[in-house]
Amino acid sequence: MSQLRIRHVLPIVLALSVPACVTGFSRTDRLFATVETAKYGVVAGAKTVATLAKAGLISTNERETYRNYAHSAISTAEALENLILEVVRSGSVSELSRDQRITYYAELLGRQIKMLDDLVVAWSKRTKPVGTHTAIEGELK
Amino acid sequence: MSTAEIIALLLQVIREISPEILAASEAWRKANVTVADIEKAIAETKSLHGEIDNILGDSAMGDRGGYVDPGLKMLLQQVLRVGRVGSEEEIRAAFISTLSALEGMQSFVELRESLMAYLGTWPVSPMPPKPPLSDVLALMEAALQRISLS
Repeated sequence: MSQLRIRHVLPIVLALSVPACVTGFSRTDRLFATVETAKYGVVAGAKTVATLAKAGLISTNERETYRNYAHSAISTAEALENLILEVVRSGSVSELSRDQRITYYAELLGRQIKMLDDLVVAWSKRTKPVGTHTAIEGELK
Repeated sequence: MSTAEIIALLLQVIREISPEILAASEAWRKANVTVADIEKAIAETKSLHGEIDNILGDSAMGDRGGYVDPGLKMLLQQVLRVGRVGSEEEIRAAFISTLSALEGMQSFVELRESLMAYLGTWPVSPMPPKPPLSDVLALMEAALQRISLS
């Protein structure tokens, strides 16, 4: 299910590093699009997890693991959106502490999305149903 | 599962997530984002917590909908006070007790993760950078507000 690898559509480093004169999109535009993509990726991942759970390929514990990290990633996305709002309202991106906070949350969101993506990709490769409380030992061997 | 069942499952997943794929590609075409765009996105983000729970079904942990032990509110109020005026040692001790109280809860994941990052008890590598104390306290205030509203 390689088409579901949401990290491939979440190029945070690229989004923050390409100059606006190259693309016509400002750093803020790209950061905003990155966060939106992350949000939709988390929802898409949840739908995938729900479908796999209904098919018996994901245990209750695993579904809860996804829920846990999904809520966390959504909260990080919200923190980033609030910072982007500050930037757009003030018209400046040069304020140091804000910039550091954006970098901190962007990196955190990237890690969270990668973790969710890795889980969904591993679970999507399953072809046999798991027991209710089966962990992911199969993928770890 | 047979190959046909796996392909059917794949197609079902792709059909279900196509609105998200379209929405994400739309976001990448938006130049000069405005305050209104971001405010709309923030409102949408707030609703995503409920949407995630709706998609995944009821939480097996039993604290969906913001239900928490009433004692947690008092604990958070005390810890917030320590966080504002206490020494570093006192703040760490208070944060450790908060982390214990939040153990196993689905609610307040962001606060729990922030506390783990602050205390250096992140469970998996790589360890995230230590967040500023003000950010942890802001999350704690937000958690208190959620408890008050629930």
